[in-house]
Amino acid sequence: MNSSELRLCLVNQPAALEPARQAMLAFLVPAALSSTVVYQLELVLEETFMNLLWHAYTDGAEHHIDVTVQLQPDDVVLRFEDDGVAFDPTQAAEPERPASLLEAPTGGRGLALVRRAAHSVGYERCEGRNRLRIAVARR
Amino acid sequence: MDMQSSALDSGVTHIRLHGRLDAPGADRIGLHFSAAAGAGTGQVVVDMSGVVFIASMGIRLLISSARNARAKHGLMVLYGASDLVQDVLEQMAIDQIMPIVATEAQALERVQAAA
Repeated sequence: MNSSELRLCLVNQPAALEPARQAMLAFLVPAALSSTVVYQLELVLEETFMNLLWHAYTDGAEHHIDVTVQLQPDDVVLRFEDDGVAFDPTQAAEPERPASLLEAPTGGRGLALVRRAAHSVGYERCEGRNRLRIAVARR
Repeated sequence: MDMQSSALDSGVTHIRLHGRLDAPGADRIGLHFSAAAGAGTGQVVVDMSGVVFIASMGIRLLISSARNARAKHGLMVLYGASDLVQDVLEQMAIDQIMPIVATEAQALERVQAAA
């Protein structure tokens, strides 16, 4: 691991999220990012990881999700790699703007939050694995 | 994530949230928060000033709890959100389906006007 990259291996359990968040925050301290950027990175980590927990696996078995956080000159890049079912979040539909409280769906906003936080989102399916690259602008 | 709920003399339920309204936080207070929002008259004000982070599971909880208040013919109003939390709520158009105001006084005014 070099000093500008953090590599994490998360088990597909909700309890894995908080230690990963803490590790990411500690890694980001020297970069002195704004609170807005840190918030966006926390959103990307949480929404992407939770989305994988809910949708990527159907076998009830333990799986591992590789997460890399990389500091680049203009962006912070989060990469997620998993062996779950193929899913391209860049093709997911935007949630409709609700007309009323009763018509509003309760869920389905996670990917929309990621797209708004991100500078760019890229996806590829390679050798049976999902590879997701999400870049958040440092400024 | 913590919450405190109390009944004001006016019959309004006052809920104060503190911490991270992320997936673990929403899971921790979910049942308690939903029940409090649907209790009494359904007139509910929620102090968001202690919420340092909100993600989609937190938004889900706000919507389901606001529906509980509506089921009592009441209204749930949020107030005091930080700029970062407010931005997320507005990005998801939550301000279009439930009132989000700056102060407790404004929140109480909104729920009482709707009664």
